[in-house]
Amino acid sequence: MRRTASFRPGWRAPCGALLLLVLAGCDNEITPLLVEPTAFFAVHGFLDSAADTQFVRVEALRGTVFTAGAPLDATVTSTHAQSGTTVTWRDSLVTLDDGGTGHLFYALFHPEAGGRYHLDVRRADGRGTRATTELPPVPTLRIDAPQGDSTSLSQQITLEGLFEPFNDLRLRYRVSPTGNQAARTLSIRYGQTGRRGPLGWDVQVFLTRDLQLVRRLIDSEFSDTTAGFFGVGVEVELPSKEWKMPDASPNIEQGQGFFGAIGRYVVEWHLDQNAVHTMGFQDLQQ
Amino acid sequence: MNAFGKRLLWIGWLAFWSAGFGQAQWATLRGRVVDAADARPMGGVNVILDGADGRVGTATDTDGAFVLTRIRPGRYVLTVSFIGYRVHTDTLTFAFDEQRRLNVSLQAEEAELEEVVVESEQRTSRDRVAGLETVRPSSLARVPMPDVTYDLAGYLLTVPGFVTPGDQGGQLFVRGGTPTQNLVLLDGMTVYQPFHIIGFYSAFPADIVSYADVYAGGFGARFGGRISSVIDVVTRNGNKQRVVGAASMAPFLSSVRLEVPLKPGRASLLASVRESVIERVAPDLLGRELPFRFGDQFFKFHAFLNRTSSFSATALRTFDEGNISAATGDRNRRRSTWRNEAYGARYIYLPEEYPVMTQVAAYVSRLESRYRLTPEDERHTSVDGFNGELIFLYLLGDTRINFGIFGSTNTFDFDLGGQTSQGTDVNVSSGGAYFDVRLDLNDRLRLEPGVRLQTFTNGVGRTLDPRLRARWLPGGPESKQQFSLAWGQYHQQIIGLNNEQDVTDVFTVWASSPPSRSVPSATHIILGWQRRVLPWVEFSAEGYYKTLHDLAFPEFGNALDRIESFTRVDGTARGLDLRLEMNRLWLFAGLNYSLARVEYERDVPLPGDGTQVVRERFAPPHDRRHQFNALLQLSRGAYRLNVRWQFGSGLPFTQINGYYQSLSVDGPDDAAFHTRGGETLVSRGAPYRAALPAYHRLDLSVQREFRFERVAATLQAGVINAYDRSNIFEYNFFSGERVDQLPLIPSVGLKVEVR
Repeated sequence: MRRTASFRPGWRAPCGALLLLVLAGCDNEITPLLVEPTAFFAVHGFLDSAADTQFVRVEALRGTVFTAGAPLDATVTSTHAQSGTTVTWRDSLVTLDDGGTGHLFYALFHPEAGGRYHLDVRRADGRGTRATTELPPVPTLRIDAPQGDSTSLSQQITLEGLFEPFNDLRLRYRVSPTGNQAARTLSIRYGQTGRRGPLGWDVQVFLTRDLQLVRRLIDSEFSDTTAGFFGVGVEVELPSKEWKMPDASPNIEQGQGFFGAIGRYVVEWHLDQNAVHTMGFQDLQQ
Repeated sequence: MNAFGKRLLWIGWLAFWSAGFGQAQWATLRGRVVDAADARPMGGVNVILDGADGRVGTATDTDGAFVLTRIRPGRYVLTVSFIGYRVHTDTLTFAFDEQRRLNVSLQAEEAELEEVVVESEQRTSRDRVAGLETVRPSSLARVPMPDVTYDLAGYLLTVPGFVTPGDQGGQLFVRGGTPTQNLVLLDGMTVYQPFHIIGFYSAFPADIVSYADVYAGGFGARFGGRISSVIDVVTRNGNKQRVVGAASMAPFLSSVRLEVPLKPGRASLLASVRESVIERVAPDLLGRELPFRFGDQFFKFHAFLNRTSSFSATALRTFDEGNISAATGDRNRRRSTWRNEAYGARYIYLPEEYPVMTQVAAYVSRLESRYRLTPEDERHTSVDGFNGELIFLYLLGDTRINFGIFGSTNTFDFDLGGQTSQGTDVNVSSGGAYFDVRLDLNDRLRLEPGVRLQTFTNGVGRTLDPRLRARWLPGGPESKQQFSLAWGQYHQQIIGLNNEQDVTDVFTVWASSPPSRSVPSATHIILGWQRRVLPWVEFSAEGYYKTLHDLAFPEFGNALDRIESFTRVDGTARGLDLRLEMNRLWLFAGLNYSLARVEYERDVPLPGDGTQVVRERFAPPHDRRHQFNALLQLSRGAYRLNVRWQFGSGLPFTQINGYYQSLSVDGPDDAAFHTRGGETLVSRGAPYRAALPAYHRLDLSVQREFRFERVAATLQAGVINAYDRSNIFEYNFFSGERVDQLPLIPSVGLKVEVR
């Protein structure tokens, strides 16, 4: 009987596997970089509510450890999520401390308290990195009645809704040596003072001590009887949550680095008139 | 010692004394050999017992009967062979005064009666039972080596399920297990890092090996402290009748072996010394440097103290030194050195009245390892171990009962150079007992249940590990098929930590499992099937599934080449190992294929406050999915040709997005970051999603033996990596440098042996 030569179906699988084996064996190259990368840029910077100009350093991820002076294919924009307002940032080349160059992008705007901002760094092909941060809102103050006598007057204030220690706290007093002169602002640094309370962060303000310090600072100009008291406020720096773990950067999608925000706010309150007089000032609060 | 330990010691003491003392007689083996076809007695059949002390043998008389007397107690390999018949082999253990009967049916070789098949090394499937393979020295000689001697390591590289990253580094991964999860014993002594920096070689040259039980998993209750595999190497005793020895010289390695009878018939000394040569000859031979230096020294004293007891003392020292990244040309970077030392003493007592073999042994092991990453960053680790054991082996006919108590203590010392991990003289101990039984219920079914109870000073506290091994011969002793099973639970107190970013990093830190957490554990299940397709062709398949828990695995962040911490991972290892072997007098051909899948999983914190986690699965860097080995040995007269071709699919690695400068923004008032330089970090992709190129290589050797009465000379010529395949060994992501495995290396070797 004559047998027709044919490629039996039963042999296809093993032959296919053998072919794959041979093909796999021929390939001897290594591709260390992802063909479909999951990260594109490194961004470093933060939004500052008190600054006129915002800055962020941008670097494209590179294929080797060695820094290269290749042109940067990046467009940087920021968007205020609540209003949809978009700002395009401008690129500038800066000379780094080590002699190299870096791309420092900047934009002229004041971030809004409580505002949520997206920073988009895009390549020409549309792919890129997005970082998101949110400025802390301006805290609400809860004021307790002043306690003590003229030698140790103090007052507790509560920054409602704040339960974490913050960067820095200053008490800001607006005073003048005489009631006729313009108010001068003097700050006393409290640092990371206070403690967590049930409603927020409790801070004890030592009014008598502070105003004695203030008098001492400009003592020669003060007249005990005519010194004016224009107001008192608390100046706080509230960092966004990214500052807690600056190396983790979970807020950066498809990228690396650090992107946060800082809210620098001053909140004034009205000091009781008796307390002002007890400390020897004219009450000129509005 | 706590109450539990005292109880164990008490039980052991009682058992020791119950064994009794008295005058002993040697064992005797009687039996009859018949033709399996018609039960006709066969005269002139060779019956040989091979043991650590040599060989005893006889031939059957015209009635097929044979008697072997004066058999010293111990373990032997029985070989029954006759021209034109398939060889019968078995493993037998004899007690003093044991009178054993054994009837053997030999099956005729149907196809080619003219073939002479009498070599004892022709194996049957009985050497392989559910994860266990008993390796004989003759098997080691099937693998072409770059010198004229052979080594257990060379053979292990051909065993399915055994994965090595290449011919450098000395790492061996067994069925998903890492090197530090392998228990490697040499005459009972633990050898922490037994494989040399050149992967062909280990601390076990073929010249000193009597046999090796290699468990790829599912090992019995006698072994513990590791969760992956056991390589239990038993060495030969030196010749007690006359001085014999051997010396060899080849471009890779030179060696000397000497056996001296200290007291004829009673005591002997075996010494073996090997030292690498390749680092000296490579520049001239290959035109490139191979800066690897290694060697080992082995000494064994063995004596029969009297008729009922024997004593042996063993010593092993190894050293390895080399720069894996030789391609960088910088000898001061990434330089590894390690040294093993192991000393052991063993006393065996066999009372005449009772079939009980008692063994008391003590072992001391030490590993010292150094790794110089850069001239400024040198790391070191050392581990010292002491083990003691008291074992009773009851030989009750076909039933064997093994009971032992043991204790061990380990001291660790490590310094990871500038990082936070440091430990000085950390000490941990463990102790326990095991009990396992070998029951031959009939001539078809053998069961080996066991249990191991162990207490740890760190980690889980106390564990009770059940074990079971079984073998079923559907057609009885001459069955063409064999089914086997192994199951067991395992715990490991001391752990090895290494940089698994890639499998080529040989620096391993031995440490104790953290006190407050569970020790690493595993459960194995193995199913095996062997089938003799033709009298000289055998096919075997073995499937396995291992679950792994609480393994230590390095966690890499964005820093270059630096481990941030070690996390706990769980995992599974599963696979199928297939073998097809053809075994004739003049030909051995073997094809092995392994299909494996190793998967780890761990909790990864989600972005945010870190309280929410997601389960991440990945294949670790030793997950070789496909591995294929072809082995051929052709013998003709005094000539022998060995060929091996290996293929391994690429090992997983982690691809990267790229590098960047990380700036430290110190606070909201820090405007200096605008121009600050930063630390170079790496952005990694998902772990181990890509594969390195596949690995394959052809090795071959041809040798000719010359015999002159008591002297034999073997001349060998060979070539490693015959088609000069550029197999990758290591790729440095940060510098882009690639280090390949050994290139084509020709070799010529000469071995002279006085027998």
